[in-house]
Amino acid sequence: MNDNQRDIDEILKGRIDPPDARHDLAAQIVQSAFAQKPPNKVFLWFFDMRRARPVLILAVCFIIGLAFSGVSDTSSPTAEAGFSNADLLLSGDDLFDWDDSYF
Amino acid sequence: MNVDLSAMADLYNRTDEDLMARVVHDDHQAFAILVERHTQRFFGTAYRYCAHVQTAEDIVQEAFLKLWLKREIWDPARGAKFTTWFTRIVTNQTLDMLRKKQPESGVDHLDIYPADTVHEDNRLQYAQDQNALESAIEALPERQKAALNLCVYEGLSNKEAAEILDVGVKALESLLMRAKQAIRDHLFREGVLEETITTGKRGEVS
Repeated sequence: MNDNQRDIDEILKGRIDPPDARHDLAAQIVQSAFAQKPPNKVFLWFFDMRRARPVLILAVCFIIGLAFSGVSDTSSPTAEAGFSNADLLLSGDDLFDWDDSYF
Repeated sequence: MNVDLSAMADLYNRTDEDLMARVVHDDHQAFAILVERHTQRFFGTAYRYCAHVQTAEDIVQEAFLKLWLKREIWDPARGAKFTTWFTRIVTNQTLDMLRKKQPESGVDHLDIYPADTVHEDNRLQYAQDQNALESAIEALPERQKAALNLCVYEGLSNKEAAEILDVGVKALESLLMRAKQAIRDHLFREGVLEETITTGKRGEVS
């Protein structure tokens, strides 16, 4: 060990000790620990991200899939009215079945 | 809670590892004794990182709460010493907290004086030197500071400290060496180290 190394080691050893903790800190810690409710295991499981990550990824994929599927059509005005878009399409005959009285 | 005094006395004589084995089985008294036995020590551990009394108290409280709430993770079969294992928890708790927030009112400096027999000028010089040392340590990168605290002030072996920091022993030695070099450079810049070398003893600086 060289002189500089020894000097710095001496200085580090001379570092002042930390102050004393508050005298009632230990009692307060014990009190607050016993006041804690045991954590909900399901909650802990879900928020353990290592395990929850695949679940979250699947959930996001499901929501995206749902958004792009035809299921969202159920909220359209035609569906709410009780018939599908296909019902609105007129057949060729319908298109040319005009009443002459219109003219 | 009914307190059986002879049982309490018996618990007081038990090792930390024995008490932890009881804590795992929800023994409140064993936990209370562990907290009482080690609060000051681990408060000191946390304080050496943050140099702030309130923050250090919060850290040690959070660490013991974690210990109580997750007591089942203590595995006596691994043969770990309680103090080494809990030092890891406190160190991680400290580094997490310091990453999240800076100490609110800065570093608690001064009120640092050696024994009354030392001359007033020397006391002032000593306080200034201590503040320079605290500033030098404060300025260290997180992992260097952790390596220094664990090896120099917690009295852990290099192997134990390396395990706590999740690095190899060589990497830990490198962290330590760089920490000491940085402190030395800082103290040279502050003019502290040269004076200390001249007299060779703190508190007797001319």
